[in-house]
Amino acid sequence: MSARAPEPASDRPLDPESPVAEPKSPIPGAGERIRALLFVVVASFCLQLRQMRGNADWMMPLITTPLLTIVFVTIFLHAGRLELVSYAVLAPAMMAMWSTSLMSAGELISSERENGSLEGLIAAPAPFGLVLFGRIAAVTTLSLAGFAEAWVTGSLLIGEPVPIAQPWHFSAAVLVTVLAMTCWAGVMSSLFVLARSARIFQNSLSYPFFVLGGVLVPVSMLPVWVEVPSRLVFLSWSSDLLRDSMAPVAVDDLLLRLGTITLLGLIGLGLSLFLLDRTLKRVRTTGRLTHA
Amino acid sequence: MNALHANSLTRAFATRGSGTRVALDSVNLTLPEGRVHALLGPNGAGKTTLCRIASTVLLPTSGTAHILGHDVVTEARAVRRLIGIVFGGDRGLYDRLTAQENLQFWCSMHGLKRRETKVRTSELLERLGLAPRRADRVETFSRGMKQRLHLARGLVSDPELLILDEPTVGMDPISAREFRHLITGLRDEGRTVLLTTHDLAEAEALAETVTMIDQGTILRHVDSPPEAGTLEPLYFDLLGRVEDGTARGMDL
Ligand SMILES: Nc1ncnc2c1ncn2[C@@H]1O[C@H](COP(=O)(O)OP(=O)(O)O)[C@@H](O)[C@H]1O
Ligand SMILES: [Mg+2]
Repeated sequence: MSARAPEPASDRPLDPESPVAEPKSPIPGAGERIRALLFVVVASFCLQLRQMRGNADWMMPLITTPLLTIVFVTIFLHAGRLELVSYAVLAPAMMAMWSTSLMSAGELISSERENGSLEGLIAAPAPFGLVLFGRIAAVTTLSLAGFAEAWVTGSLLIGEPVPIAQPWHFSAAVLVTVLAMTCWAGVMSSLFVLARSARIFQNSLSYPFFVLGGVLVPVSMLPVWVEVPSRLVFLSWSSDLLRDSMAPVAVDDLLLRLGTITLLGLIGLGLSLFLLDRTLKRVRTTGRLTHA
Repeated sequence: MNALHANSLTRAFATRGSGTRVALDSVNLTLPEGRVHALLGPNGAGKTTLCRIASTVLLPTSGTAHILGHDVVTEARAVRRLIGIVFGGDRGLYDRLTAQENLQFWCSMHGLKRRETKVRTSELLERLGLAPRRADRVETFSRGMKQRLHLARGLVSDPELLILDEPTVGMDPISAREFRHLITGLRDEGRTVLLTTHDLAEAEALAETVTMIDQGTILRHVDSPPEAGTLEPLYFDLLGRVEDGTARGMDL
């Protein structure tokens, strides 16, 4: 390790809450900075993958996915509605993604505290929001395993691969869904810390969102007083678009719908940054995560 | 420049019910750069609180603290780039990651590039005697190894000020001696070390200044390396008096 000469004090204006990390010296350009920030996200993504390896806890929702798929597919087959098999496969997959993401994300901040690493993360120059984003993205991405599970189970039950008629549309929809899911799981990660009572409802919170998210029943079939609020939940747009891109019928308004999911995701991102800021302020003010 | 400068630094915590507990009470303290400073005091004295404020993870209730010239509240980001922290003994590591992966992660939290990360990580693993176990998961480590890895973690950013909160608690005597050696080495590199302890022998062996603190108040600041055998009488004298004067709450 190098011996240190005293470093000249930086004369840049320093904004303590600025979201951009400032690596030591020399003063980097914008490109350099963005690279450094991306590196934080990637490192956090990898950290989360490594933390989860060989740890079954976070996979609980994925264990129920094939079982749910069997139930749904069997019902539709029994009713003679083979064309609805995509519904039966998508629903458990979406439920797995939602539950896994919320469960793991809800734990992240408090588990850092329990692990004794929260202070180290706060005291490090890297923006905590990016660390959280990278880690939640890892969970959300892995939760896509539910899609594979449901598809394989469904295919075995109907004796042929469940068709995905427009794979490119489907992939694009999955991509924006994962991003939106990450943002909203970020909301939950702070919300569960700020509002302890929210934790109590953590599990029961899932089911209303399965309805509002139209994971099995398209929200357009629901009563209008359910449909309207559900249009504000990105999941409902995702469910519709994913189902439509599995069907052999051209998808209407693809870009508009992808854009809507992205926009709802960005709203979640803004909200999650706001709540995270509140959370970190509270940690630094009270010295603890929860209310006294 | 001063490594730490606290001016009327006060920190109160809300306690259950509606009371408050003053963990730091108008502390004035100046610690110059490039030395090893010991903060000595019993449990509940306010040592950890001071370290947490100095490392920007806790805000003062009133008063100010500057680290290497930067205010911990308004220039938190600048402070974070200058310090390394080791809090909580063997906690704070990621158990499922290997020693090397842990250090790599913390390097990226400090904005190190890939090549710097590689060099720094192997340097530190070597220095802390963890190189042979670099690829083993931390959950398989002994307490002493975790503490050493923790120290390595605090050093990834090549910090000018290293804040160590009771780093040797529960260390066996041999590890503790190696640890002292390491701290001296860090000082010789021109770093400042702020070390909290309630181990008088450790303070005597390492410290160039000693600050005795209890109940959030500085009882005595000794601005020179303590001579062998002098700390203990002083400590008991000071703390004994406090104990007689007020009813001290036990804090475990
Ligand atoms: N988050 C907190 N909430 C309430 N009281 C606290 C908190 N942190 C510390 N304290 C209290 O502040 C005092 C000083 O604590 P601390 O700084 O941890 O002492 P030390 O590290 O010297 O043992 C103690 O009485 C402790 O109970
Ligand atoms: Mg302490």
